[in-house]
Amino acid sequence: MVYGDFCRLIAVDFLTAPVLTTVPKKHPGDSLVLTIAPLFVEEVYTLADDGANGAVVLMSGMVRNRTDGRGVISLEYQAYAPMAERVFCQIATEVRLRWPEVTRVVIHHRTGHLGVGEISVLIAIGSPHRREAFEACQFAIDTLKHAAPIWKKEHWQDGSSSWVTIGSCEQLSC
Amino acid sequence: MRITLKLFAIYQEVYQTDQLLLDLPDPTTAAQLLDRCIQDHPQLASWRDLTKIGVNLEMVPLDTRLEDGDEVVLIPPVSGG
Repeated sequence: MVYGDFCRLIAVDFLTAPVLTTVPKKHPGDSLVLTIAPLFVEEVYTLADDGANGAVVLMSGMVRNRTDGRGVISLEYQAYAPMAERVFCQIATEVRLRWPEVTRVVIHHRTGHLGVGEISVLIAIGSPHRREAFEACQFAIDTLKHAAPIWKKEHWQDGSSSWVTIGSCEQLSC
Repeated sequence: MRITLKLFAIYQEVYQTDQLLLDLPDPTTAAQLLDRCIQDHPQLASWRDLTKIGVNLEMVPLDTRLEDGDEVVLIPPVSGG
């Protein structure tokens, strides 16, 4: 697949992704945070810890040093905070509807300028059994990527920068 | 009527601000507001069909009629995570 096809796929994906209509309902076992401060695996793991757990699945997303063979120096994240936090709450609510045995839902996302290797997102799901934790964690990160109003801009090694969307594709004329 | 328009990513870059207060004729739909933005900045035209619209923190259909005091956001393709 060439980069242009990939960009078009992303755009079509964004336009056709189902809108989350779940009414958000805050649960005491949830920790949903959008922050400019660094994220810590230990902290998120601890928040997902619960005596009823037999498993915690933790997903960590970080800044990669290359995109399609092109060197990346940093990523700049922007978010529409009140709506993003509402989407996080919708995701957590939906997780609890689909996998009622889940004990904890932790979603922490960072904004601002992040260098290579820095963590941009942490999601942890606690559950009595691993299967539900894996499934719920996958659902949470996939839905976040489609539905949360968060954007990132890639700052390239050559000094240029571009928003990660079909727009960056057009700038590259592909 | 007056609405607040929140701008992010490419929209924020083109407008060089993160928020606008706009006085709009009543009725105005979300699609009409988007068209007005494209008219103001034709370089955004390629984004029109890729942009979703949120009103008061919820995604809405483009034919949604805006109301006085609404907080509207233009949402180009997202890329969180």
